[in-house]
Amino acid sequence: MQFKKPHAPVGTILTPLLCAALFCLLLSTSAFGDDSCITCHTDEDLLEENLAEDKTKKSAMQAGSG
Amino acid sequence: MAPLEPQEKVLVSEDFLDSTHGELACVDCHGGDDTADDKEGAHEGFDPQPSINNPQETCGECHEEAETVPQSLHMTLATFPGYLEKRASEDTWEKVDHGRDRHCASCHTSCGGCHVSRPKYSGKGFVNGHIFSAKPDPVNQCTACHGSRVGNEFFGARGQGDVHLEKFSMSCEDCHSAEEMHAAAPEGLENRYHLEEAANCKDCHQDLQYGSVRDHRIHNNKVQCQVCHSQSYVNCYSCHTGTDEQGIAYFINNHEYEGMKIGFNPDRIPGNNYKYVILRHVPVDLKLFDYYIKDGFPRFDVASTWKRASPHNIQRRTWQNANCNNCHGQRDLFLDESDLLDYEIKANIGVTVADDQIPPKRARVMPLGIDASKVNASRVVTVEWLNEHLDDDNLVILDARSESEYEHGHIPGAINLDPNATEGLRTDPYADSALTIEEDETLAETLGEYGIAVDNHIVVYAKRGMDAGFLLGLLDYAGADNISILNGGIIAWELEELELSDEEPDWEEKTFEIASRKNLIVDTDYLKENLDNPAVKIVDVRVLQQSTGLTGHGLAGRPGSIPGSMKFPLPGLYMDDSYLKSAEELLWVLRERNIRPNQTIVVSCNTGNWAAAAMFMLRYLGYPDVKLHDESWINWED
Repeated sequence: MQFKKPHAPVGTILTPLLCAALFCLLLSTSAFGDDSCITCHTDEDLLEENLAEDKTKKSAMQAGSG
Repeated sequence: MAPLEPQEKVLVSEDFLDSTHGELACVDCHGGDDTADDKEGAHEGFDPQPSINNPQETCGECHEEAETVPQSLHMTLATFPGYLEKRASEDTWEKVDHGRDRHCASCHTSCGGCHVSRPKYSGKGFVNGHIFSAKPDPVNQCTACHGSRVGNEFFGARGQGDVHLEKFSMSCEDCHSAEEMHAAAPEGLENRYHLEEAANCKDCHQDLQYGSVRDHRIHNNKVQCQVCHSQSYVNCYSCHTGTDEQGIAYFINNHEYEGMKIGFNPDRIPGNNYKYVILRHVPVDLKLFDYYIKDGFPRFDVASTWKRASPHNIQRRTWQNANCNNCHGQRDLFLDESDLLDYEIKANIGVTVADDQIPPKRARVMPLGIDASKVNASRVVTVEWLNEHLDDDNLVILDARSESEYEHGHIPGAINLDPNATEGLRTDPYADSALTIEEDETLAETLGEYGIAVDNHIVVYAKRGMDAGFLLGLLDYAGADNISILNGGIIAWELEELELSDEEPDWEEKTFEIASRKNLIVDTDYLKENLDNPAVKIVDVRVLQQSTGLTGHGLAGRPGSIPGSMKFPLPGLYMDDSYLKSAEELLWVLRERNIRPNQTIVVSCNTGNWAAAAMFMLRYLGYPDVKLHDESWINWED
């Protein structure tokens, strides 16, 4: 004998699922945002590859203590 | 402080992500676009220095101090414009102020430069992977800017260093509180000493008038503490500003020298109402901003060029307080018109001390009891002597500066032998074996190549006396007896306006008959065996930031010091500019530090170079049993 599950209304199932998905999407966007900064800034090799020569310049004319 | 590589400057540590500040999103403080998928887009609108550009909406969100920091002296340098405006006129001020803004104002900093990064002036970059520290790092932050005077003097790169660090491991913030650092400077604040929150010796050293020290009772509130307790310090002259071919602003400080002057207090206010203070020559000059406007200071004389100073090289016992008459009646110690440049005499009328204003000598004083009879006086020659003996047959003059300095002009006949850059004097620092003086054969060959014979009278000079001392220490070890340092070095020669040459002399190679004094050298095993021997004193002559373990040497695997060693930085024996303090003063200082001739004195540093210079100086002073720990710290720690 096969029992048949009673049909639940579609909205009752989909609404919490959609809310959860939306929440996860928002959360992951934020988390991805942080990752995009720290992915680079915690990887020394990647930084070395991507950083040009140091821009901090001191004039060769400068002499003596400040 | 070694400069950071570009990637090191912005490398965030994993530990930061677990810290309180790491919980914030990067964009919360720095702006930028954290949804962008490339570097350029991510840095669109990015602010590398939020604490300078937007302190209240970043740091200020949590830290209430951020409300006053934008008006703090570290941020505004508020007392600079005041002094310059006084000297300028209504017509010249705008351009002078523009020059000030391009040059003097570049030093300012805010929260970030003290709590997370190196300040902008010192090249920026995270101190510790973006981790914030409530206490600023004395090496990477405070003295990264305050280095040329405060840092060098506090850590013993000029003089013996400061007792607060050496004996009590105190750091900057132990005197300079957060309240002082964060305080807003009141409108019109005349100078930094007037800041209500400013550090004062008497914050800790209270009620001196009731203490057991007689001289405190006598001098309290009349004489600034540093008059008796500081060592000599640097004075700067004649700063000029300009813009180079690449459009980068620069300044040139034309002359710096180590010295000490006492004068009248230009700045008597309640709480700082001393009659006598230590004065320092500041780099202001009539032509400071000539690049921006000629004759920018028509009212130059309204403020002195010798300002109240507070050297950060305090010692309880100094040469000035060794004896009443080391200060009383000492004309040379008090600022006089003869110390002034022609154009600054009027500016300093209020601070110079006339003959009849100098405290008179005391009739009876305690003798110092210094025995200078063992001093080997022939080991120091003057420029006058050298100039008269330039043509002596047996004389060899060695210039221990770099090749480029030598080429710029040297004493006629001098041979360039830079001990820090010449192979064949010391072994390869990167070899597996310990770094030491070379084997006899190699050392003799090298010295011979430079035209030196063991029985020559060898005179060595440099710009820094300790460089000459290093080479003289090697020559002493190699068996040369007739060796001398030129007092004042190349600076004294130039100041006497004696002839300079840009031609390298012809010399012939000689055979240097080496007679090395092996008894002058001890190795690390000797030190291990004698750590508890009271007759052996190990003297660590490195700067205090290394001997106290704050930083390490590039060749050493770790910071630290040899157990039981005493700290006496080499610059306590050699002044900045190659002039030597009197033998009596040096002997007194060493005795005060309990470095006595009746002990075996072992000098040690990082690599043996500074220790060799210390050995030369101690043997000149007549110490009979001085030994060089040639292997020094980099071998000990290994």
